[in-house]
Amino acid sequence: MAASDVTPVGSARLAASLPEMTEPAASMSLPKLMGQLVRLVAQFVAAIAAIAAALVIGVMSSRSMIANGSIFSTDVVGPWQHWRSAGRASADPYTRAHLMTSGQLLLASDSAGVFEASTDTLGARLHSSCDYVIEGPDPRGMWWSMAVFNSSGALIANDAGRYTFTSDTAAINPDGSYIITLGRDARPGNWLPTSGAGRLTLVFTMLDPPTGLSDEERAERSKLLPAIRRESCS
Amino acid sequence: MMQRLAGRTLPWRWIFGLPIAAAAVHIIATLAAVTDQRASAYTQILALLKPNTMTVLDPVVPGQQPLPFLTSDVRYAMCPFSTSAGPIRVTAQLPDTGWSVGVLRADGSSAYFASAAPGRRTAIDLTIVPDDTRFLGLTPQARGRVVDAGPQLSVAAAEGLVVIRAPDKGPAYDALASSTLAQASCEVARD
Repeated sequence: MAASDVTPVGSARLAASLPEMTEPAASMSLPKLMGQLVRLVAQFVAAIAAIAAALVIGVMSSRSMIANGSIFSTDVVGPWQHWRSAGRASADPYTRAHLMTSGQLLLASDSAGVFEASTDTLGARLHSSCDYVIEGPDPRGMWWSMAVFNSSGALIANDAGRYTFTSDTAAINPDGSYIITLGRDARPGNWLPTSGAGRLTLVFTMLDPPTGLSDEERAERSKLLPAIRRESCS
Repeated sequence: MMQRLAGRTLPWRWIFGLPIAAAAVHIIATLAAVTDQRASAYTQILALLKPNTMTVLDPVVPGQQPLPFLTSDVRYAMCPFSTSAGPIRVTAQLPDTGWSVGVLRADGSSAYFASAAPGRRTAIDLTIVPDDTRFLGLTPQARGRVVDAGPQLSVAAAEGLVVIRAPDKGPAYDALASSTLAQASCEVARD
């Protein structure tokens, strides 16, 4: 498009839309000029603030959904959270990013159920200042393990050298159910020490049988998750 | 009046533009995280262990925990592999329930997983071949070389981790678990 085609029309439109700007600067009063300047600066600041807000909201929401999961990537059963497509080639971007950024070596969700809990069954944050009772039903022959970590995923040092119980090492009730206690002070039975770790995260793993599980059986498996009951806090 | 007010006082461009811009940033940040391998389990293990070699890890205890949330309920043998030098042959024995072997790609996706059946020893013998573009279908078996009399599986992955898990059944079983893990192998397949 030639410049001569647009210049007169463009000038006319500009003049019509911005009549104030076409006035000679000398004929504008100082307050009017200052007003325009303030408006321009305000628009510039608003644009910068909007860009910054978009960046902060976009990055923070992404990080939160990658680190903590969301309805798009995790299933929640009571206090337990499960990355539903972990390890699958078809995993959603949040799950894939979670694996890449957390450094976790999660078993694939096609092979095992790995469930994490940071709260008790009533929703209160797990903390080493409290004692908890974890009670689960008979896992129907599936191999399971229960491990306790601090909130950053480190094992909690303790004199007893206990960090986890499995279906092989826990004392199981005659009906196949089990009870594990969490607390700072030694207790009889399946006691996992929490020392002074602060916030706690429990990881419960159920290994699928070699023949695998159907989707219906996976849904049934969720009913076998243990309850986490707080007893007392000091 | 209302129309005029809405048109002049509410910054509609920002009200609609901000969520769209935030959504675009969200998508870009998420996709960037998907490709960021710096903190992945594969990168961390590769920095600790010799590649294309099966290494039996010491029991996981506080202070000797190579990865976050790595449970101490199992003993691990791991092999960070790369098929750039050729197919990788992996052999392992899974003596009982709770034992498993998994091949994970560098992005954390599972290429292969097997767990032991109760009371039955399972022998694993698989070959990891380069995936897609670099794989020409020329495994040792495809070239007519019989590597072993047993059945073999082929798994496609360029690089990643082989992880063998031996469940902690108590001190009485430690020696058996250690020796079984030590027999596992992971090496470049020889022609």
